[in-house]
Amino acid sequence: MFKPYHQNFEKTVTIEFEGIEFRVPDTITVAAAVLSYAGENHTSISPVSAKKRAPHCFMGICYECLMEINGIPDQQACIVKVEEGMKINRQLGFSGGGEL
Amino acid sequence: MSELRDIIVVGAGPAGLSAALTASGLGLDVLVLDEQPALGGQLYRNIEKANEQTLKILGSDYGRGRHLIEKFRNSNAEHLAGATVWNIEANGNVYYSKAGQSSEIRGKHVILAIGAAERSVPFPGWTLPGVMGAGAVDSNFKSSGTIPEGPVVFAGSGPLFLSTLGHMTSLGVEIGAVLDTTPQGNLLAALPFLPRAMKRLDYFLKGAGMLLNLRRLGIKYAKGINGYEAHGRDRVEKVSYSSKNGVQHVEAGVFLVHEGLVPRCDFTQLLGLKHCWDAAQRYWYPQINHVGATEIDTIYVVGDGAFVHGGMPAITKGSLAAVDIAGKLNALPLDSKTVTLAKLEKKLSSELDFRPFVDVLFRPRSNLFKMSDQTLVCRCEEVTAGEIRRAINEGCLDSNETKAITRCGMGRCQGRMCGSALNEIIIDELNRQPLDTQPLRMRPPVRNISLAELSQLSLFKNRVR
Amino acid sequence: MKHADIIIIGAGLIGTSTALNLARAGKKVFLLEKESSACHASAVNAGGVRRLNRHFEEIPISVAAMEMWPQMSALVGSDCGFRSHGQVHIAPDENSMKFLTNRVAGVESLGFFHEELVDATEIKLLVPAYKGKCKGGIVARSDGFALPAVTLKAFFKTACSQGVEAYANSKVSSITCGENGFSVQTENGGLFESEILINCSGAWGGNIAALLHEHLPIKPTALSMMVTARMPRFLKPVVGVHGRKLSFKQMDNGTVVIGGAHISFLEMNKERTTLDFKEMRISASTVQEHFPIMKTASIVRCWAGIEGITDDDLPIIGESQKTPGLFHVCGFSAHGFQLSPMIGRLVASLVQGKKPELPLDAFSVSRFKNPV
Repeated sequence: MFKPYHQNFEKTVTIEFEGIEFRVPDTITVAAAVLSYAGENHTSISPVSAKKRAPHCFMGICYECLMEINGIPDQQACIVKVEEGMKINRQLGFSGGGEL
Repeated sequence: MSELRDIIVVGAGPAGLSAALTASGLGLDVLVLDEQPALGGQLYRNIEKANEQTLKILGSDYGRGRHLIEKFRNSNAEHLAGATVWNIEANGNVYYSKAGQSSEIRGKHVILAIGAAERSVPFPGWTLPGVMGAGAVDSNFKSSGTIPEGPVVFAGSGPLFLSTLGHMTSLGVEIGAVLDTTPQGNLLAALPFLPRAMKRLDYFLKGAGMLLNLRRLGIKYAKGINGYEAHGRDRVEKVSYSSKNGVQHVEAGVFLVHEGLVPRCDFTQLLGLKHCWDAAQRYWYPQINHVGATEIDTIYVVGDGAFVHGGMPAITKGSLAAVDIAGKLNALPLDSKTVTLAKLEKKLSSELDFRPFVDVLFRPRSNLFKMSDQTLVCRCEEVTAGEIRRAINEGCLDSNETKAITRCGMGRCQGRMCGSALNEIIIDELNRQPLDTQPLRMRPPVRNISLAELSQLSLFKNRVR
Repeated sequence: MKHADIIIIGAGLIGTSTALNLARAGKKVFLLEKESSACHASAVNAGGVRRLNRHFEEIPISVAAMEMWPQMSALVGSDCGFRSHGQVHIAPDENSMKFLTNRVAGVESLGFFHEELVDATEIKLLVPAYKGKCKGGIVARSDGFALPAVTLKAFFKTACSQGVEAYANSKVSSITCGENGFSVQTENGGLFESEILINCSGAWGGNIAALLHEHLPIKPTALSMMVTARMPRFLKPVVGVHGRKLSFKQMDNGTVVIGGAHISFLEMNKERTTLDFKEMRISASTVQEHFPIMKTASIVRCWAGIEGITDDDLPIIGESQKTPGLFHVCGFSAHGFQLSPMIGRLVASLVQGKKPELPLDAFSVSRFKNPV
């Protein structure tokens, strides 16, 4: 959905998205890394209808970018910066309803 | 860290930085809390790390931020990055989360500088991946250096819409079409304000240059668009749009929408402050005086969060509040406070010369919130306009009651994405005046925090109320 | 000047239920509300539909009300979101288990058998996510919860359709009592008359009584709650733990609602509540200690509702000791929600001079004059 415009970054870090390693600039957010360097089109699944969702506002308002970062769910990927060794996973929508 | 500060500034954009460096220059103890990883807010996002190429493309409106941030760095104000404020109380208590740890801190005064957000307008297909705010993608470029992969379709109206469009063309983004939703009668209505606005000839030249550039590049530019929808399975694939020429389609890999900016009232509403309604721009804004003071003595509001005026006025508004507080805290003698405030107010007034013209020129279209029953209004809880209308027809009288019955606004974002639309539906269905309606109540935590984090919340030893 | 048989002050669930029953009995009823019907505790409470652990005096009414909850569709045209997933009260130690054993014996001696004593194994089966201390507990299997806002809306709509005249934004400013009955004036200029006046003003019950120079020992108290984002289903019944401030349930949509009577700051004159995050921190710790699955749950919202709590935690129901024709039905002390459909029925009989189906004597305001 996104691609890098330029490559001349001072520093890069290695992150792991769904088990695969990527080298990304150290200044970027997790959401940007997933949508460009990892080549993904969605970051989460709606907990209501299980439809695919991706960031809409990129500034921490819409909550569409919630991801599991380093094992902790519900992190706002659009305001968290990547860090060396970070492990990122999409979280499946916690669909309510249905029987226990 | 000291528990009690002279001033806590929330937000490190133009207004917040300016307030902080002015106050700290007057000897006050200032802490800036900002949820972004880097200084600059949305306008100057990530500017300290911007390379020459980026600076050139984003131009002086962006580059100007370097100077401000440099001054801030040289001041004594303290800055906490990645600190998300989730509750503010009238007595100056501020609760924030940083790296999974929440803490309480207290300011003698709190300056809210949380800026504006792109107006959230539901339309069919707006939850599809690839449908984003135009400003959002502009901000994302600043921090990540990534650009959307085309064909990119733009739809909307407003100064930020045009500047983003300019940036994306300069970045070589493949643009599929530009759908301008500015009502065509606006220009005529704005003409009386033109002479005052002409002082900022540079803005006009920039706008005109941008439009010429679109033509030069052969980009499809459609005016008088009065609605659009996004289509696709797992992401946006196609955009349909309507005008007096009927409905047309265009292929899209990314769909960027922008229907103007609105002040973020999260905390002013949480605090129960009075809000006013701007009929031209159709938004709520907190009631403040000429220096940004609210009816609660502790709380000030500055920048676009007080009213959308843009970056330069935001800087001045930040200084005004800082100077006023310095006076209150006896850091500035009365006479010099009066002189400084007068100077700043004069500056602000001239910076706002351009605004009446812009606000009328980009007045939102009248059918902005005329959603079909099938349109999802609440993205989080997936509540449609039809369900909301049904609840209203069955007796719900305001946003908060409708929320309790339909769950619209009860999800993760706490109604930030659907609140305006919900209230607009009530205005329509019940034939209300906006001022007779009640926006959605905000509840703490204004940002979601985990239960574990709440259980570890670090509180003052001696809590005062 | 408007005239009705009966004026009810307060359009919460108790007032609305009473109004509905009186209208069905053919009475002309005015329902006065200072704001709108759904703006306070009746619409924002935890929604527990519980017979379990009731004060003995309340049990007959609670049991009768419980018969009504599964029939709500017939009564008010909506199931009110009622789910009969049970209520569980856990004994974390031997002492509480002993206490609960005695309690169940007491309940049974009154002729009621809805409370069932169970062992730790059964608790584990009912609440697998519970990881706190457990020596057993008590269960009411057909108790559950409902949606307060939906319930109130359904009652209110039905009451209006039965002829109740509801007046919103009608805060009562004065009440006079003469030979022909009551004359009630509202701040927005309304003037209403009736022979009978019912005070269903919840936490504001004391204020209304004070207008007729009567003291009711009702203390307005703001009780806090919080709700999480949707989670995978892990819990069916509503759970409480003996001796701990915890009330815990998962809604069908996956959100978890956490109560436990944690008190918020309250400025009653402004009707403003401010959450006490010291209390919310305790609440979060308590939940985590008993349900480790909740550690990563996201808190989406905290809020407080203003409840009217009496000195003995029992409601005040009955005719005023001072002003004949005035009835107080308030101070339900944060557990009136489940009782309300039945309270409406009983109070309707009471004010019409009929003998209520169940005795209400224990709730008379006179009990406060001669403390035992």
